[in-house]
Parts: sequence; C-alpha cells; structure tokens
Amino acid sequence: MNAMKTILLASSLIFAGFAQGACLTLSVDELQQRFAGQDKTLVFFASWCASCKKHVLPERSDRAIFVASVDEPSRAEAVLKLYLGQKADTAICVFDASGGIAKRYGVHNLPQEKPL
Amino acid sequence: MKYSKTVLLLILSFWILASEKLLACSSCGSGAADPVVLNPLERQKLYLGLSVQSGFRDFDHRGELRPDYGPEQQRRLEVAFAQRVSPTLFVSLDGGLGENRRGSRVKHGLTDTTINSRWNAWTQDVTKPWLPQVQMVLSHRFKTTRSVQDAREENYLDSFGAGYDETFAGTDIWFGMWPLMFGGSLLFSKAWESSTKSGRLEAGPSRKAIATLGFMPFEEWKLIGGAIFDRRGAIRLDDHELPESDKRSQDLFLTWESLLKGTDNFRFSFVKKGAFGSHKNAVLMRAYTLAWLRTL
Repeated sequence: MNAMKTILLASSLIFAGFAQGACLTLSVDELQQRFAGQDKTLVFFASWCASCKKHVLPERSDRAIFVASVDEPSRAEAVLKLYLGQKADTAICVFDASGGIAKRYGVHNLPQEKPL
Repeated sequence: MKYSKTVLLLILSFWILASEKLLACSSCGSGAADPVVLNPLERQKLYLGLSVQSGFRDFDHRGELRPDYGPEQQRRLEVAFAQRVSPTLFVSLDGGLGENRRGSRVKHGLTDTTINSRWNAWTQDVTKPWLPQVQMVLSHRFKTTRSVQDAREENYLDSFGAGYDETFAGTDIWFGMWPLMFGGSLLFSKAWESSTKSGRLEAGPSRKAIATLGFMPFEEWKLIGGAIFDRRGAIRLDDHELPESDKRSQDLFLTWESLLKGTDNFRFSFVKKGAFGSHKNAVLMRAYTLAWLRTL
C-alpha cells in the first residue's frame, strides 16, 4: 500500500514537472494551494487580447504565473510560445477555463496583473 | 405578424442552445448598433447613456435640405443591461426616457425597447492576426411608445419611438489584432406592419453598412470612428407603396472609450447624421452621447 502511494506521489511529481510549459487546468483553490508561500504574480492573458503582449514577457517568466482566462489551452500555449520563445517551456501557465480565477481576483479586463 | 415573432423567438432559442462552447472577444466597436458589448471575462454590464441631439434639418426626396418641423433638441437617457448567456453569446436589453424641446415647449416620454443578442462565431487570436472576429447580431425593437404617425402634439413633441416593431439581423467582422484596427458590420432589418390613424403602415426593409477604424494610443483607452451607410425601402400604407418614400443617408461617428481595469468605464460618442454624400428622405443632425458602463 505504501509502495503504491510512493509510486503515485512520484508519478504526480514527474507529471507536474512535465506539465510546466503546458497550461495546467486548476481551480482558484488549487492554484493558491499549489503555489502557497511563493512570491508570484498572476499575469492574466488570453489569445484574444492584443495588448497582453506588453505583460507576457520572457524576463518575467521566473516570477510570473501566466493565467490564460476564458481561452482554449492550445491557443494560450501558442501565445506563450510567441511571446516567451524558449522560456515558454519553463514558464508556469494556468488555464482558467471558466474564468473562476479571474472572477476571484476581480479581473474583468485584460491584460491585468495581481499578486498571488 | 404573430407567426414571424414566433420564428424570431425560435431563432433566439436556437442560438442560446447552440452556443455551448467557448469564449468570445466582443471588444470590437462598430459603434452604431447595440450599446453594450461584453468582453469574454464580463458576465453582466450596466450602461447609462445621456445624449443630446440637435441641429435638425430634413433632406427631402430630391436630397434638398428643408427646415425640420419636429423638436429642435432631443435628449435621451438610455439604460441598458447585458447578460452573458454562454461563453460565446450574450444578450442585452435597452430602453430609456426621452425629452423633446421646441422653443419653450418640452415633452417627456419613454423610448422604444430593444432586445439584442451577439454570438461569437469566430474569436480573434494574436497568433493568427489575419483572421477576424466574426459576430452574428440579432435584435428586435419593440414599439413601446408614440411615434410621429400617432403624435398628438404640435411638432411631434410627444413622439419618442419608431412606431413599429423591427427585427435586425447581421454580421460584424473585426480585425482587432493590428495596431490600426478595422472592421465592418452589415445589418438588415424587417419592419413589422403597424396600425396608425392613417392606416396600416409598413416601413420598408433597411440595410445598414458600417465601416469602422480603431486605434488604441494607450492601453487604457481606444478611439474608434467610421461611416454608416443607411438605406431603407419605400413605405407601404394599406398595401400601397408610397412613391419616393425610400430613404438614403450617410453618417459619421467618432467614439472615445476608456478601458480601465476597474469596474467602471466611460464612453463619449459624436454622431453626425447626414454627414456626406447624397441623401433622400433623411435627417441632418448631430448627437453627443456620454455613457457610463459598470461591469457587475
């Protein structure tokens, strides 16, 4: 049983590592739990937002969590590739499918940034 | 008439049921259609607009300018509410109050009520800027108030509505991913027959083409402007077409809109009706509108 738990834990850690660069689908609670205690800024963006270019920058990818709001994962990932280049592979991207994260942080317009 | 309204309701219901998937960017601004547009993150929005219209003159059927015998100044308080129904569809309802003035005489009344819907058929994408946003528009204006056909006051001071129901349908295309944004709308309408004291009146079908240019000098505000080409077929009275009663006009508009990150935003619009080209049975006037929009 313990061995099973260890395997599951190891798998989830491996997949979490692989998931960086691709957008993770998280609820607002999951987002806050996962990055609790980290000094991160949420950068809200979407593929339909032309002016988000000024906020989705490679030099910010270390401290930013890029939140794709009301978008399609493939489109959001394409935008990160476009703006971040190689940094897109290591950047943290969260997919806010229903807009729940944006709602909790009071985001109605894009682009916008909020502390985690 | 009743049958047509049932068809309209069925179409609206179909749109609501059909649009189950994904997003929308409704931030285009062709300006001359429904006043409230929701961006994909917005669920509800309230709109309050105050407009002043003045400088009224009429173009006759030969295109010659004549004095206007209606109000010298019109003021409108327009209230609208938009509600997102699905990620790709929202509906809005608008109506308001009007004030007509001529000299020292003033009359107040309700204006017509309109229900609007916008469905995003295709959403813009920064990685494919050559593909436009495509929206389908469907609206219905209800005859809710007195019109020039049944006005009782001299100079139509108690006239605040069109005098008939009218259904609008069309498309709105917007290239919003370039530094200079542009797009256009094409809206068609069908006016429903209405009983007036002169008889059964049916305004002709209309076709409205809107060409728009947009520019965002700063992230917090945008400027859009363009031209409206309005055409309407001849009026039918008791099934007889009134000769030379079709309409033609070209208008210009300019709109400044704030895009602040909070919940409140503002819009200022200027419209010059009968601005350029040749006109027929049209109105020459200018309108200024200041609006407040709150995202709920």
